[in-house]
Amino acid sequence: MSPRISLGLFGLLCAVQLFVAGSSIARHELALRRGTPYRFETAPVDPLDLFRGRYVQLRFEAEVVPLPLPDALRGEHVYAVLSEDARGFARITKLQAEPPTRGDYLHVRAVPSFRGPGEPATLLTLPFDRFYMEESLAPDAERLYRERARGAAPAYAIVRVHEGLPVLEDLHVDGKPIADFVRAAR
Amino acid sequence: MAEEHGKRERHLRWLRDELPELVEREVLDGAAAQRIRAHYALGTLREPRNVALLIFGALGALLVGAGLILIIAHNWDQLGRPVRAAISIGLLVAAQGLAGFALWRHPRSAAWTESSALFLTLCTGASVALISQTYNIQGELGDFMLTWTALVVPAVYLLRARVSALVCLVLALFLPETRQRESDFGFSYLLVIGALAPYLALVVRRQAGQARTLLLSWGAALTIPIGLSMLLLSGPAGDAEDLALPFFSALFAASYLFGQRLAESGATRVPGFTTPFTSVGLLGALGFALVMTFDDPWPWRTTFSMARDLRELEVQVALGCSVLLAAQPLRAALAHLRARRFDQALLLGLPLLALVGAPLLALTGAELLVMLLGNAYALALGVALMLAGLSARSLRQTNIGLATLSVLFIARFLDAELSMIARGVAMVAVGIAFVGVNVWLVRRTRREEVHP
Repeated sequence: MSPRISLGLFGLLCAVQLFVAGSSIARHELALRRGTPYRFETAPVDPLDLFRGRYVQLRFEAEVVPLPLPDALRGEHVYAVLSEDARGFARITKLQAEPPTRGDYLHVRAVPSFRGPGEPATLLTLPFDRFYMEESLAPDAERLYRERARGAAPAYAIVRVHEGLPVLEDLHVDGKPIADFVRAAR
Repeated sequence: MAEEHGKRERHLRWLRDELPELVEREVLDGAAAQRIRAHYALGTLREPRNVALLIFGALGALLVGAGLILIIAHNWDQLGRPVRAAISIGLLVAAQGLAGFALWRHPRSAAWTESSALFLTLCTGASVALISQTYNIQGELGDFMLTWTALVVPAVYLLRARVSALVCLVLALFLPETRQRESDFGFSYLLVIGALAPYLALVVRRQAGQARTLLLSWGAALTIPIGLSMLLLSGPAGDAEDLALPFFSALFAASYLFGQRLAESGATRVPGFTTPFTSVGLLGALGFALVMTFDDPWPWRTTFSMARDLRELEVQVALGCSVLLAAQPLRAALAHLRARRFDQALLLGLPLLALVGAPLLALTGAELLVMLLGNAYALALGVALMLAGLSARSLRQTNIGLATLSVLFIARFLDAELSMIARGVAMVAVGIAFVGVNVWLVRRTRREEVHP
């Protein structure tokens, strides 16, 4: 391969790498700036990703939807239509095969489940289950959350949703961003 | 004088690197290339100074890149989103600039291209990690690895970067397990390996003697069996694990055959440090030949359990892959059998024993029969390898056969209901035989060197 072609192809590779990195930044930045904020009730724990650092693993109340999963949607990704409940927390009100024409939605994996005998439900895998934190804060965040959880300190994630793209913006415990909550408790 | 010596070494290295291509283009045959190698002692050539530069350059790039990933993993709370986004793009651009400069100004310098490609590889990972962390982008480690390797594989080709190719092979090992529940069921591992395979094939044929090719070859010979076994045998249902014997025996026989095919293009044929595929294939095949002398590892005792497992898709896929991998080695085994090279025929015929033994046990339920078959095979293989080594006057080959026989005898003596004294005596006898054959072979070789 001639040096000119090698350099040309290398330039193309650089452009692809920068496009992937740049478009990822742009899409998420757009969602954070223009997206509608939703509050998802959660319970954090603290594992470690070797490459991306410590994060708080999240589990959500909204993962279990009290709706049966239509047979046609079994084993598929579904569109979950979003709304808010009376307390201002996010709730999923409908599961469908196509994205809704109005309102916010999430594209999620769904499996049939039960809430109790004769109460069919659907278990969703929400596409935002990791909140990355500074390595010194994450273990304390989990410990403090567990201590406060006994006293019913509410924790929720703020997720901005823009055209179906959810971006996890922050995690709040007791009404404060979790990093501030940890620092205040130290 | 020193300059003269340096010039001669440069020419000899050039000759060493040219030989595989000359054999491939049929200018020379393999035997002539081997004679040239022996005449000029090409196997003992010292590596030039720029290899030291290459090693230090690559090590430096590895440490700096890995350090950056760890610094980023700290997750700097004080830095805002725009700063983090700028750092991730800036890191990537800096590494691209360095690699571009290497490609533009020093395209023939292995130290420049390898080091800058490795730095680009690690900075790409660091950049993707920082973006994921800043925006809390979801996904398991496998998703991250797939994005990382997909963005880096083209750089392997453009910068002819063997160390980066090795890094990709290692990163790809995360895919089979972490993407098992995704839409590709972990098969994206095969995509990454498939994307790297043409480059690997090219360098092992054309530049087999180079240290960095050897490094990549060892990486491929060791990681690909691990990756394939994770992909095919560790499915969600876990039933494909039963196919470990046919799968691994086919895989190691295929690795051995691949190494031997490379030898036909001029590289060395004897197992050792310079023949990773042959060595890994041989050791793996011998290991599994010995495993098949026991009754526990065989999968099915009844036709019912075999039929139940064979209904599972993941078992069918693993079985299909085992048969595909076994096809070429079995064909080569037949050719060796016709040429009366029994050691090679038996070694490459290993998958046949596994593929016949498993259903035979399921159909007959006769564990003793399959065990006898396994023991007879291992005994024949050990004897054939030892005899081939003796006739070639090769200590290494003879000892491989002897070691196989020794492990087989020791395993059987430990299995058998014998007293400690009998077991001890048997082990001493095996040890004496081992030493005796070696002493005899060394003396005979010396005598032949004195009186050819």
